[in-house]
Amino acid sequence: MNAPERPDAFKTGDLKVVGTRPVRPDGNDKVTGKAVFGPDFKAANMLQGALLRSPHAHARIRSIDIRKAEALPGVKAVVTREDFPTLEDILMNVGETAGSVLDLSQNVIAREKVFYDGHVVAGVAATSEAVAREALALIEVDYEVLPHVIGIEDAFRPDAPVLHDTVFTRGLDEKPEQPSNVPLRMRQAKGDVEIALGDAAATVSGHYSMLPVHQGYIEPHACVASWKADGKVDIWCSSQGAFNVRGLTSAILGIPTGTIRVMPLEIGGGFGGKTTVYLEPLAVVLSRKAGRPVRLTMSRTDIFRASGPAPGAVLDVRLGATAEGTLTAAEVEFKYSSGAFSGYEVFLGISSAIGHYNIQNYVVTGWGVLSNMPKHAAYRAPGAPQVNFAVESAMNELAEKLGMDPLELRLKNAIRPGETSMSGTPHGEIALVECLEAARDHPHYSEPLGPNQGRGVACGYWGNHGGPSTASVAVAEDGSILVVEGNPDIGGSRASMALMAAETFGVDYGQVSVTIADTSSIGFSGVTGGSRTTFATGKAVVEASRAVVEILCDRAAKLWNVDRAQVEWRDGEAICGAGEKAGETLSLARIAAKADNTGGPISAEASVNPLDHLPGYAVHICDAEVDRETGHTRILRYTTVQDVGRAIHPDYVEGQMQGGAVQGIGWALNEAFVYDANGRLDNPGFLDYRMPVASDLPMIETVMIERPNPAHPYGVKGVGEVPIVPPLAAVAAAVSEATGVRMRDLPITPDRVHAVLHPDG
Amino acid sequence: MVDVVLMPPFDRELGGGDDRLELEAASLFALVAELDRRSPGFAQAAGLRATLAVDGMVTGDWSQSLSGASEVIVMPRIAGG
Amino acid sequence: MSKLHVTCTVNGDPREFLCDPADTLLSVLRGPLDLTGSKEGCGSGDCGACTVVLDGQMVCSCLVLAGEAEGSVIGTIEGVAEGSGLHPVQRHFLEKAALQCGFCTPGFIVAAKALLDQTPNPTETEVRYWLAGNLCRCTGYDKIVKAVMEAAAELRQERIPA
Repeated sequence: MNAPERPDAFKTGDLKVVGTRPVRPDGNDKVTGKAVFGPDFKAANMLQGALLRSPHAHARIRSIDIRKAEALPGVKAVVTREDFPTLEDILMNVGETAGSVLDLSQNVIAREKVFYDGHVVAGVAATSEAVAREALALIEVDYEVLPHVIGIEDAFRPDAPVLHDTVFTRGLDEKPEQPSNVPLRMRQAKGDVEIALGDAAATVSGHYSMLPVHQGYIEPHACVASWKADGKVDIWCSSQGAFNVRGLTSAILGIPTGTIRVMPLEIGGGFGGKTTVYLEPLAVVLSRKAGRPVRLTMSRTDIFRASGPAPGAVLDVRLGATAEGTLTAAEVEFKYSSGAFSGYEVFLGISSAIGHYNIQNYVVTGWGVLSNMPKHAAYRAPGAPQVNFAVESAMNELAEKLGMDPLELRLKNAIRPGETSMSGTPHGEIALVECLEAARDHPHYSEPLGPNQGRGVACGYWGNHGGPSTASVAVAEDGSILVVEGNPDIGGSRASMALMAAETFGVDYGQVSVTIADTSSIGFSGVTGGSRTTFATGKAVVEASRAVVEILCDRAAKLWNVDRAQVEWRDGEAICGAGEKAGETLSLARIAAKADNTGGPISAEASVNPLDHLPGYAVHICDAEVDRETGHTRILRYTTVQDVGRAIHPDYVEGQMQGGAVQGIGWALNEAFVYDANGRLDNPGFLDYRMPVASDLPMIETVMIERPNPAHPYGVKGVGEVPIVPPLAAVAAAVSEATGVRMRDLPITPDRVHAVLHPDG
Repeated sequence: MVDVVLMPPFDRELGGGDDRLELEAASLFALVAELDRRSPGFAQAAGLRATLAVDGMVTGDWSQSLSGASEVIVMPRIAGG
Repeated sequence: MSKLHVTCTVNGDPREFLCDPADTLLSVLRGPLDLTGSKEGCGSGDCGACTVVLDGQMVCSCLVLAGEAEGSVIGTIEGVAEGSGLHPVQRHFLEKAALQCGFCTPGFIVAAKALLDQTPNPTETEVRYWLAGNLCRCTGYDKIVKAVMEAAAELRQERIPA
């Protein structure tokens, strides 16, 4: 969102280290099994925890009897809703944002009602996992089972079972009199859509749908918490943000933030799903009661039943255009599921719907819908892929109707620098047009297709984010550079930080080490999410590095006995510009060796809150082949083109593009949450929740379009999320061309393809 | 005077359905306070819910002076996964 | 419940442990043997993060009962590297950036090494099908497949007598 070039923009200049592809600093530990991930950490004298989860989709908890469980030898603590602060306390603590923390707290452990299959009801800590599980079976919960609702349209109906009698739809012209499962309607509009659609030379309309999908990180949620007698709490866990875990645990338990110290362990994938808390508050309360450290780990079944997913959606789109292909009108209305508690994906769906095009008349309406599923969580570009699927599918249909090439249609309408974004600000240095041109000119786009094959394209964007980050940089006694930051490394960010620091100092990459600190050892940093880390934390690293360079120059001036102004920093050395030492250099190592005699240790910290991030754009080309007998779809070739700003470590930028594309392919073809008639998740495992495997895929070709963000010292835009936006429509368009039938419902499973190819059975 | 553009959902919450207001405010803090006067409670949550842009530039520093500024956009604060 | 006493060889070292009859090999590796490089991603044999080599066979250690390991020879990720140096598969994973989060990586490396031990010159399709039992959610497999192919090429070079 944002930002024409500014006079104070950093100059990128000639880069020596940024843009190279060195081995990541944490790589060795990760290929040898030494890296310590969430489930790998052990504390001395640690107990094993286990959680009792609801077997019902919707029920009132009449009573919970834990006496038999507590009496079992080896059981050290049993906790229920009684052990958590009352809701009023939480409201007082966190002010008007209490809504979300209140929901989160209820999601961590059920209070009056359970809202989904898998909702936590009680927890046990015991001397072994076997004892803990035995104790769970002794807890007696008296449930009053209530009618449940799963599907979006079912939950939307006025006669649906209502989850919360406190939810009244916000955003309507008049406040409704009855509570419902619809917490929010949001609308953004411009011009007059009805007139524009009436005047359009060509229009298309369509109804689209998809089910919730899971982030599918391979590492289970896991943590160890240790409550100490002085009231201090240590938590070891993997998450996308240790500070986020600290803040949410503090709010849910009503304990001071400063008493909690969160140690970030290596994180085994998150994709947005580890930007919240599930286990940490429970482990803390169990530890407080037991007086010993407690470990909690989620099973894969429980991950599917009770964490994630991303919203399912039903969507309607109408587009209108002139005969020459200029878009004149867009009407988009969507309903997103949020699970049992309100989500925020509707906001993001609105802002991600049509902002990649210049359209004078539009109405975009989004509804959030509650139902008896786990509280939804962020998933890579949250809220964007769903609405993009409908809009981009409609664009492909419009191209067909106009007899235009689908990329040319997009080029004609693509948003350009200087034009207004959906948030009202003018766009800065964005490169959608260049991406579309690169896709059009790519050999893939003109490769001939065979029988039963089709090619689809789609484009999309993601706003990216900046926000608060802290980094510190110190010079060791031998001149090594030590960078400390607070953002978990989920896909190579240590390498990016080291590259940016090395570039700023003018030293080799190998001279820099990067450490991710716990929440008591560095200032606040937002989550590793929102495609913000390399941008915002990178800015903090560069600012701290520049401050250290300034100190180094100052120390060199002292050693040479010249004015600071006479010292220049170049290629990792100070150069003397005046006096009898003119032309002499002092290396980092030599300045470091004299640090104690020139003013003491050399270090600096920088805290930043940059909001001059820029969005990222992506264009994907997909070739697919359908098997007419089985309905199976095979992806033959896949190319991603992306506006990446500047690629700091190109391998890891390509990795984001490839990984996001493949998650999108899975979403399009295989993945879905399937519930049975009782509201229980029917496919809570990797066998039945079918994520792409190596044999499903071709190589994923990548084209990086580098148009730097002038507001970042090295041009970073943020690359992690937009790759999952276009695949749904690109894959669906390829299958549609291969079958001759437009695929509007995801996932495009073999039975669906078979059904359209053989309508008579 | 500065033009205040209210992006959804703030058009309903703060503008009663209108997406534009004209306000007198010396800084963004003052502007948020003025909006809070019209819609009590806004200021308390604004730091977590709203992002502000002055003449097209998003800013996190609400002490920024509005003298010479012509437009402030109030939009929902969004982040990603 | 009486414990089973199991003696086996792990990464070349003689090891023994006590376990419950219901314990899996994975839980013993990660617990009493303190080899946490093998990961549990699912516990049902669907993700491959716990892949080890048991008497020459690549297996999901979450599907093997610990008691079955009596007298067996087991190789885990911790035994892949040769001393302080890396195995070519590990090195190519690093050089080709074939990992993002790194959680699935031990399973992939054990599986890839098992493939190359028996098939020195695999096609891309063979690599993709061999690794189809290992889930990676980060990379889209592109760089993993390329790393395995390059490691295979290097290993073939090493096998040519000078």
